[in-house]
Amino acid sequence: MVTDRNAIFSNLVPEYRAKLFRIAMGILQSNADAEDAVSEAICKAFINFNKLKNIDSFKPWIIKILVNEAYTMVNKRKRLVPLDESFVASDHMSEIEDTLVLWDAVNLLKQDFRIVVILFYYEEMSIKEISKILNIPVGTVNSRLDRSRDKLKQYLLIKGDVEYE
Amino acid sequence: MNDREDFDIMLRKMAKSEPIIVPDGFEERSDTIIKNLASKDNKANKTIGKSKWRFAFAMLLLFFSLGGIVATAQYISGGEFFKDYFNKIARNDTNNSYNYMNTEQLKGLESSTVGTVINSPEITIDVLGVIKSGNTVNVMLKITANQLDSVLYDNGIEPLKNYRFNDNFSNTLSEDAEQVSYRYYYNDEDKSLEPNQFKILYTFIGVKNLDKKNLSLELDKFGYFFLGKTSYVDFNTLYDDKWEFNVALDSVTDSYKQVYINKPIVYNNSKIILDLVNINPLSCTIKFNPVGYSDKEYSDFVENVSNFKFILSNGQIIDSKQFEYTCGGNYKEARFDVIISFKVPVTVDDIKSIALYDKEFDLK
Repeated sequence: MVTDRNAIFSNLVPEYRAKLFRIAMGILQSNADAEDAVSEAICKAFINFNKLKNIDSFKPWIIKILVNEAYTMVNKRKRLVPLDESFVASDHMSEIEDTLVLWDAVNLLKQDFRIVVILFYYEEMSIKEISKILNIPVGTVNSRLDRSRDKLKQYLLIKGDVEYE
Repeated sequence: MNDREDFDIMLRKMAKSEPIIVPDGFEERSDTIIKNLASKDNKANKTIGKSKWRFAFAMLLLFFSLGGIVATAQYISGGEFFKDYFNKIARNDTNNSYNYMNTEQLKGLESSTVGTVINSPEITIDVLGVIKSGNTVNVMLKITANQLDSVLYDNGIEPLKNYRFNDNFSNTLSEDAEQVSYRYYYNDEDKSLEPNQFKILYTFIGVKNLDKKNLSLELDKFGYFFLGKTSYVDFNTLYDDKWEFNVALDSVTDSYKQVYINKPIVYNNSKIILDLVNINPLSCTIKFNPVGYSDKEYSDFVENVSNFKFILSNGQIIDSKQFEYTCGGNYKEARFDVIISFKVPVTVDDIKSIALYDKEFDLK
């Protein structure tokens, strides 16, 4: 049983870690900080995994841990220690930029709106789940989504990715 | 434009189609973390210095408050304590020369707080010494577990072994804190300690030079970490309590200098502005302003910090073998800074210049 629980955790995390990274990027807008936040969240999740009663809730559970961690970093100006490895920008940056049109637009939003959009559209979470993760009322989630849609529409129109009929 | 629902559908499709770009090696590093957690090699709770991983995830609660000053003069002064402490470091590190070390100045940098600050049936906390200069405070505590024969406990979790305070770093650091680190000493390393005692050295570095009157410390929950039946790291709380006390920041002298440089540095075809160097006997904070750089350039700059050098007036060099450092920054916030903690106290006025990224900058 001990090994099973450990194995379950070890199998779950790889499925979600890229998504966690994307969410952290939405808040922190730094590869380095985002990876730190994900690492911290994984460790905290590991320590508290025995408290998770329903494995089906793993995704919103670990996202909540991550969001808390990322916001803590935003507030704390976390100190970082140099890595031996370095982050290297992709050699195919222009190709990537073309395929991240919505992401570029989302990154123009304010932080509080950005995270709501990421959780709703990218992670396909419900309004209720988002409300719990961010600890804000359902009405606030809806309001931020509405305003975000308006902003995204403006940006995508300018970029020419949305046609106006 | 179609109606709102169509736009919504379009956004969902766009989101679904966009790939997630993670940094090179992200999966491998994450796998290593999971593997280490599972194999009892948790790297949580380290002193903040150079470390393989960017994150440090055990911190101490530190708050500023205007509480009363506690001082009982039963011990040698804080300055004397730290003089002895740094002399031992210099003596034991035979690979480096510390003949530039200046411990005489510590007398002027000491706080009046020294002695017993907490005395309960379970725990006694003594402040062995506090020294403060510029934006840096070092506090050394000695903790006695009065009801235990020994605080040594090999739980197999390095470096979380032995009895200690539980760490909770959520919402713990004040806005004034740039960096906080701590290190535990037990009697297997420090023979001046009894088996039921340990020391904690805290280093607090502020965002700016400190003008606060007191530093308020809070230690939560005493016990030990262990690997539970499910192989997860958990904490067994022996005393579920918190212990709060203040140390005065009332040193009679201060010794630091701030040099505004505001000069560009070009490194690996990337440009950064060296903004400010704030140096005191215990540490040096270097602030940079990025000029539109990316994470790759940030990494390049960070990698080179190990090549930083301080040049003294007599030509002697203090390099990374004689200090520890951390880096922090965010290019989107247009900041990048390096905090250097000297292993032994330096004489600020003796530091002539700093060399970094193949350039030398005068600090006189």
